Amino acid sequence: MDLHHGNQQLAGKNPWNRRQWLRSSAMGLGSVALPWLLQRELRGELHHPPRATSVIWLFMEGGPSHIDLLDPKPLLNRLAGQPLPKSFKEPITAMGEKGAPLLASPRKWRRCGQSGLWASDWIPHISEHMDDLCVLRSCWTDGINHSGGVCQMNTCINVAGRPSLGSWVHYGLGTENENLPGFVVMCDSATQPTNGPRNWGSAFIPATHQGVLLRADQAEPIAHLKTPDGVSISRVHAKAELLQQFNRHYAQRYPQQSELEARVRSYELAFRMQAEAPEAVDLSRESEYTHRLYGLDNAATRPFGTTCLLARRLVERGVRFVQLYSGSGSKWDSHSKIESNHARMCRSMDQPVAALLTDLKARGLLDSTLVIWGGEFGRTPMSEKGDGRDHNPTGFSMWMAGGGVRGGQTIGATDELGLYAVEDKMHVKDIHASILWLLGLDNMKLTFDHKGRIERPTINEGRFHPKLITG
Amino acid sequence: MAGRRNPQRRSTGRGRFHPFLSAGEPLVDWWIVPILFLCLTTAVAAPLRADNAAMERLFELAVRPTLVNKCVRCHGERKQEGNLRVDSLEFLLRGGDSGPAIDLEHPEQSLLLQALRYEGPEMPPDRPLDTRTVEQIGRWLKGGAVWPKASAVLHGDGKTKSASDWWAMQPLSTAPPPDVAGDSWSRTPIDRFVYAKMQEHGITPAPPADRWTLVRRAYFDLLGVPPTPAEIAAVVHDPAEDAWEHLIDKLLDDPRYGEHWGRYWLDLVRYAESDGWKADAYRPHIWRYRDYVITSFNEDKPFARFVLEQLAGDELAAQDPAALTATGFLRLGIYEYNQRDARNHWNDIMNETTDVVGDVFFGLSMACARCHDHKFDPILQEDYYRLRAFFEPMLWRDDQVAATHDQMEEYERRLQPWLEATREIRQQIDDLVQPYHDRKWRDTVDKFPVDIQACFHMPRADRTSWQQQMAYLVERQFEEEGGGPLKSMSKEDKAKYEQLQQELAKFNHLKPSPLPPLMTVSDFEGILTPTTIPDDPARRPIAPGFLSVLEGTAIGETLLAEATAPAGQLREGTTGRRTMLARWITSPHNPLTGRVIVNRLWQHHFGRGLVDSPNDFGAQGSPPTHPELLDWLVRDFVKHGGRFKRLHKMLLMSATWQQSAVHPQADQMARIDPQEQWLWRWRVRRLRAEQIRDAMLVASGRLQPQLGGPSVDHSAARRSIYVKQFRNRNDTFLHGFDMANGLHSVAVRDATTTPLQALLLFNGDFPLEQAHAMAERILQEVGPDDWERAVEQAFLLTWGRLPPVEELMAAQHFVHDGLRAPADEDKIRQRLADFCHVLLNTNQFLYVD
Repeated sequence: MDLHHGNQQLAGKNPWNRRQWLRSSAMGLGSVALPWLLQRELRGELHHPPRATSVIWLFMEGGPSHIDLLDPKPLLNRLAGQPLPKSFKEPITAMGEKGAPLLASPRKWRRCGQSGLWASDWIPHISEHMDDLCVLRSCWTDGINHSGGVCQMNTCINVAGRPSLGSWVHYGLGTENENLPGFVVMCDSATQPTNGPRNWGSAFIPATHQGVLLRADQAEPIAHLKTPDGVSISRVHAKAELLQQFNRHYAQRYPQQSELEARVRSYELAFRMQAEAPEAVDLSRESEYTHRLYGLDNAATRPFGTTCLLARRLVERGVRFVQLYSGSGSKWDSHSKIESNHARMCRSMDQPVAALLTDLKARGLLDSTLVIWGGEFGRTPMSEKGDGRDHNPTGFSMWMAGGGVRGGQTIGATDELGLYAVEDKMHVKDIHASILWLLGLDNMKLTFDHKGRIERPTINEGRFHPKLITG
Repeated sequence: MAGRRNPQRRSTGRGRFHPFLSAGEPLVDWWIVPILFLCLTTAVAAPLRADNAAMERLFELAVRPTLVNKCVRCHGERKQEGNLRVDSLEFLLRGGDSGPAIDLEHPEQSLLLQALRYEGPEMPPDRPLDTRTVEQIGRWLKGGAVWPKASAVLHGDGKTKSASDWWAMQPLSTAPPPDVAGDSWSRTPIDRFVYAKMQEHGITPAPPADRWTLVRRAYFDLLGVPPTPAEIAAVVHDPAEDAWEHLIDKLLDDPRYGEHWGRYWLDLVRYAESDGWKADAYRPHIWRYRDYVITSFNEDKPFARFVLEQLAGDELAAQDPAALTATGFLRLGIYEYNQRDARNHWNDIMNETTDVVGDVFFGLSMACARCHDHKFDPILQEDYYRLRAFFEPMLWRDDQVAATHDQMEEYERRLQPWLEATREIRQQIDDLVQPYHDRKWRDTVDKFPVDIQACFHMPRADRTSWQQQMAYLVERQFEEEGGGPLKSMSKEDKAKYEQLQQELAKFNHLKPSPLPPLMTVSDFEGILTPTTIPDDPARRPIAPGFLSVLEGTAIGETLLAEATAPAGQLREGTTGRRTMLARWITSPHNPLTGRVIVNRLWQHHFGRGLVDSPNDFGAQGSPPTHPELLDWLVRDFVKHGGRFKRLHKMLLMSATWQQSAVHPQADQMARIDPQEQWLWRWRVRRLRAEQIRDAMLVASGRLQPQLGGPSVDHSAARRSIYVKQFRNRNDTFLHGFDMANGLHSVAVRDATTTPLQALLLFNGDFPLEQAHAMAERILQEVGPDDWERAVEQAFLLTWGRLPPVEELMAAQHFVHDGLRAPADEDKIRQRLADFCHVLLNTNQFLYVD
């Protein structure tokens, strides 16, 4: 905003031609940082026609209970109070409570829409959209703890050190809008999610592809976006001009090293971002109706509702991958008192998520935007501390909507108690492969050469599940 | 657990195995052995027909690739579906559940051929082979199924199985530096190698850089920080012939050298100071390992010793605090404070350690071979587990201190008065906490799976190494998980506890200061659990060993003999496995590891290694651009005791290193050699993250010169190597410039250029603060009113020289145009600070040319 004027001038002096810049920077910035752009603009196309062009991932951090939300288990209530039947293999659980009795689910369930998909009374708003949802009931993952689980849901394995899926997508597809970060992360509170920024880190692929944390509640939504207090526009402008003069001289001295030219450009991009980002996150531009739709008028729904509305604005502006944390800092975790925990968490999430689906659909964006909902794992049918549930990585539910996914269907199933995925199992690697596929990327063809090893986003495994689009 | 073969169920009390070449006890139950024996003796000897060159060609063309790529995954060493193996002729003749796979009497009726033709069993199951290959295999069968002797059992794809194809394992070249007629450019032997390559490709070197440039380059290269204006002036105006050599010697003696070069090593060993995972707990003592690395570089420790101390410093007979500190290398990996799946947790820890050792010391990505034979390199899955077996007996220790035996005795002696004076209070404290401790132990242990609990409950003397490792993981959660044992203390007891602690503190004057705690390792002294390959149904024990590709080769045998020769200075009770590994790695005859480390040094001086893939010396990596030069350097390095400083000096004395970044015929040269692999000029490079931060602190005059010690918050004006490094925080100033993340071995850092960096430099607090401090400092140094000199001083502090006149004019204009001192002094001060801030953003500051 305050820099807009200055930017225009800077830009005016240096006509901005993306293609030319790409060519000129092929050996500098481009060779490590922008292979995707080179690929798409200079060499070829996607691996296959994409169904979706952007992603909004709604991450319920801490592990929501699938058997209380999307995967009803009548047998659970019949056996409540008894130990897990001997016919079920006893899993290693995070909190290690041995022989805990099964905990009934007191939810009221209803079949929704044309498709008759089941949803519980904890998600009344989302249940209005069941015909758009494809519920994956047979998800499973490896780690039993939050850290490993969140890490795996983001990077495909539970041990730190691999790029996040958002980074892979950004590496593979780039962004539609260089004036905004292409991979954005937002949280519903100031508490950072488990593992912190490495959840959206790019590990061994260049940091250009890592996610950028956007803090909607702050005066400065992106770190260092604002000109420091007390510095006038004219001073900033004068500084920028002198700086670019010096940097251009330096680049001219070494014309073969185009990264020097890229550094000149990086300042221009930064100034443009300063101009565009505040507008992108300015919710005063949204109507009263929209504010109410997302629940911004209600203290319970406002934090997550704000991130959902911002996600729509970002996707509208060409941001490729948006990840939202609900319950940032493991707040969906409910080792005890799951009734009060989940009632509260669902209330904070349900209306905003339904609003996002409504809004995307109304604007014609749902077809090209893949919406993903889920936690790092589900919860056990066994109780913990009497009235809670432990982590369940061996079977849980997620859902996808939009982005070419066929709604109103379920894929896979858990056993009769919801403990293990038994039918059409989908490992995290399959989920990631499926997301990539919907974006036009083949998980086996998207590669990065690292230390002599061809790295792929799903570590040479994982398969797209065709039922996602065929039903 | 009934019926499951498990190491912890084995009987104990049998004798210990030889520390070196034994994998511990085999896991095979007694009854399996006779059955295996029967299988082997009933195998039919193959009626081999006469050798035939054409048939051998068919074998190589069709049979080997098919079997290796399509079949052995399910019918090989690790898996035998349908009880069938196909990786040797003998196995094929023996067959599986459906009978022999090949029939030499009636080749057409061979089951193998029927399966490949999709008549009957359909193999490979995903889709049939092309008809040509099937036809070739049919011909090979009819020709007598000729199987080359050397391939008795197939490994890998046969192409890379031989050590003779692997350049990095070849003996070092003895080629002397070439003499090129008319070479008036070369100053050192290094240059002669480089010049010969230039000649060969029609390339000429760039002229030497000027002294200002070289001084700044040398400071960043050796110390990681820029020279002060006075330091530059001293060298630039030094008339002595050996001014340059003198400077290099001075810089190599400067302790800041270790602070810079140690950081490269820390990247490689994935150094960080927190656990990662959910709590990301800080490791308060690991900085002593960082100081060990810095000190080792400053002392110019021989490489062999440096490696030995890090891999096996605990195995040395002499109690050496530095060597013990060095084993912190083996503690840098992952640890999750609340993980109950202890079995998989330890497995992850062991694997990650193995991966890093492969990366750092072999320059080989071993991780591929964790799950399968390496696709491109001669590394078998078994080799991965052979390497892992060196670490299998290892226990983590948190109870050792950096002190000599005498220091420890002295400490004990001085502690006695305190112990006596506080006996009663301590007893009261113990009584008070006992019930809480008991409860916490119960809670902690109960959360683990039953088989892990059993490990904890058994007497230590009865445990195997694996059981002890499991028990350790349980014990650590007593203190560290769930807020510690005293979290549940009643209010009353807590008050009592605190009061007792206060009373205890009154005796602190009697207490000697504690000995420095360390994170270390040592080997288990009881029965060792053997290493096995995860999906090997036979659970065959894997002994510690080296790359199988070297077996039977001259070099392999030499290295093995050196590594396994009796090690005199071994501490009592340790296996010596890791010492053996260190000796193999640092043998003067090991061409691979010598090339790997010398290449790393070259890489950091020139921005790119002679081998461009410093952590991949395998088939996928790049071969060296100057193989003879690399080998010549390795020979020199080994001959002079494996010391880095000699090598640094040789490189900085070379004409190659001293070239200018500007070449008068740059366009022409770039057409011949766009990658600049023939080193025809200096390549301009961005500073590393730490160098940028440190250089700003030097420019502002705030950098504290203090060496070593506990790590500090990033707001402290210390060198960046001393800033605390958390694995779950990558949002600091340093991470903005591609700092290593401490999650895996980093040999080459990215140098990205992003708008977010521009924002960080232009709007971030840190550069602004340094700019203001720098302006204040300059005004103090040049005195008031001399604005022109102030501007010049700002250039010297950041660019190391005055700029061309056009830029100087622009700068002077920026700072005081239209203003007049003293009336406008405040404004000029502000503009000077702005100007310093601009300079800290410039490429002239952020790059080394």
